Amino acid sequence: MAIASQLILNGIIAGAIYSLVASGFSLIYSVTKVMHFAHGAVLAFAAYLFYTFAVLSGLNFWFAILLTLICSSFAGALMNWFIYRQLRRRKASSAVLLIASIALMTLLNAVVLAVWGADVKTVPVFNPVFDFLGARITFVQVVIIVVSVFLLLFLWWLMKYTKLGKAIRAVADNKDVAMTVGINPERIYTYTFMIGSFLAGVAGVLIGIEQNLYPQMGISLVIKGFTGAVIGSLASVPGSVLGSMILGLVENIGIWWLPSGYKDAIAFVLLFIFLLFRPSGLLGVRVREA
Amino acid sequence: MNKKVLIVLALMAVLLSGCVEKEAIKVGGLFALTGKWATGGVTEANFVRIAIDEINAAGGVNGQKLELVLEDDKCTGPDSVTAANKLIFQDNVKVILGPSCTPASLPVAPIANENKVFMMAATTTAKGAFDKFEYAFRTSPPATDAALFIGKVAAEKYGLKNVAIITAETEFGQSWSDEFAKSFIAKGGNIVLKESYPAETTDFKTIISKVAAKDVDGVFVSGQAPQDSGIVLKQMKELGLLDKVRIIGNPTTIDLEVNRISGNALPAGAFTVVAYADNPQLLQKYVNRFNEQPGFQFFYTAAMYDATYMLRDALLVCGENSECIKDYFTNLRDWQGTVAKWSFNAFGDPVLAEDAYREVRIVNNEKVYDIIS
Repeated sequence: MAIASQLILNGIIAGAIYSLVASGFSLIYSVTKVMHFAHGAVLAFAAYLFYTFAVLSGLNFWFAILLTLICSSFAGALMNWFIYRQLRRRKASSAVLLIASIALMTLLNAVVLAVWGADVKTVPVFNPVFDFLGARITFVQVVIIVVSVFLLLFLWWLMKYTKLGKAIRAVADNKDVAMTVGINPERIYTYTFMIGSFLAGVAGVLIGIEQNLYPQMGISLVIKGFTGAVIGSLASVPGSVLGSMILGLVENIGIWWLPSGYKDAIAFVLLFIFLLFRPSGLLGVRVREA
Repeated sequence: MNKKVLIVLALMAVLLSGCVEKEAIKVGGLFALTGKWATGGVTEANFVRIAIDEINAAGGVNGQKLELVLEDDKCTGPDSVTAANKLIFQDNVKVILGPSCTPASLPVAPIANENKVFMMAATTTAKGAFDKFEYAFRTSPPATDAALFIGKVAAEKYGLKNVAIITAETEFGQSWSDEFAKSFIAKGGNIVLKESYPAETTDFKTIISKVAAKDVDGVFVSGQAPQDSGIVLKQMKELGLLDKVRIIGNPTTIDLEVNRISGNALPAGAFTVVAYADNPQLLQKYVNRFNEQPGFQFFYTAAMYDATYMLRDALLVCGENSECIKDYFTNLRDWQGTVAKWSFNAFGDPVLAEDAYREVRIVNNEKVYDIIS
């Protein structure tokens, strides 16, 4: 019982971490159709900003989080303004946008490395351990799970009940039709990048505390987040969260029986299965192209 | 007339300046200046810097200064190969200090060998790493040597019977865990479970849960760098495993940097066996120059200080003839350095005396060395 609950809890924690990344990634993709792999680099950038504010500058913990989230949101907006908007104006193909996102990720990683150095940074926090159904979980891990659930609910509310959310959905569905009712798609893209990067900021702060900081921390996370999003549905935020949870559980339960070196292999086998047999993901709608 | 005089004077000035300042000897430096092994790589490079500055201040090598051409190997194969090719074909170096670690050294050795460039690798411990490459040497004894003692201490001193292994899927991690397993089994111990992970892994909770489900009295953690070892230990602490087992590790695991990264999770009983150096003067030189302690086990990084001085002596004898330098090192016996008395075998491995090894533990955030009986 204790082992089973520990395994499931391990899977949920991993899934919550992946979903923190996947939700922002999927939101940006669903609206702008950009595979924004630099999302992982924004996460790392936010984690280092938080380290600078909270540890190096000694600012109030909550104020440091607030500053970090503001900065990461604007980092997303700047990326959209200076890179993606320029490329869209030039009618860049999705392949070009993908290459640009990978280049941005590499650039931002290099900036983080140059500014903060290569050594591992830690953010010490009070982190007691609790027993739960015979399994052990830390306070930070509980926060990660709660925050990922809260963000999912927040995004659902935002998209469903606010004017901005409706405009975002309209642009995601059909940009040209949205324009006819007076919605400015470029403005919506900027807001989307800001919200997505805000989520990357939240992920950066929490994952930085949980797993320490190193410049490449966002790379493997964005790959796992992307995998989770494909499983659930790249175009659906709830789908990406569901996919991430499934990924975390399958990986962790899988390596109970298989050697742990196969963990990534399990994730990518799952990715291939979905790409081949259900490319739209679990919650995605199959669209027949004209 | 005046123009001719000016030309003659200019030529004389050029010739005279050549007499005063001979061209420097380029020494390639391949170290992890960034990436996961930067803690060790930067320290290795810093020891080389100290030695080169001292050598140059003392007149260089037969009047020629040493010029360090530093490249970042990032402790990865592809990066080290790119950097080595740049040093060999663009900078035309005949000698390289580094690469900084096993993953970087293994692919560079055949390139150096093929181009007859002498290389002295730093923290490279894979068994038989350079057996086929006569131009490749290293300052670190192979994992086999120290791991032999780790198995002995685990079985004889601490009476461990059943041990699980958690190891990085790298040449470095695997060679330490394999050699430890051999020596531990030879002393009557059992390896109950062996789990490996890609070096960039950050979630070890299920691996640790698998270990916790076994009846083990020890866990051998063989990380690639402080970064992964630190997170393994942090999560072991969170899952309550550190209270139940004795931690054994390779030298990158039982280290102050790992203790910092893991939130001081390393228990006082956790141990490894390392080549040991006791040279407070050299340590002080480092602290004076860089305002910090060396970033990794002192012997392994400070060995590059000795390597630079050994290279100076080889250059004094051979000039930049790399074949002669290679033979010089092959025949070197009992060269008294600051951290060891150096001899090399036919495979480019250092041969250290048995008493050069010590058990090391971290107690109250300080290293404690014990003689192995």
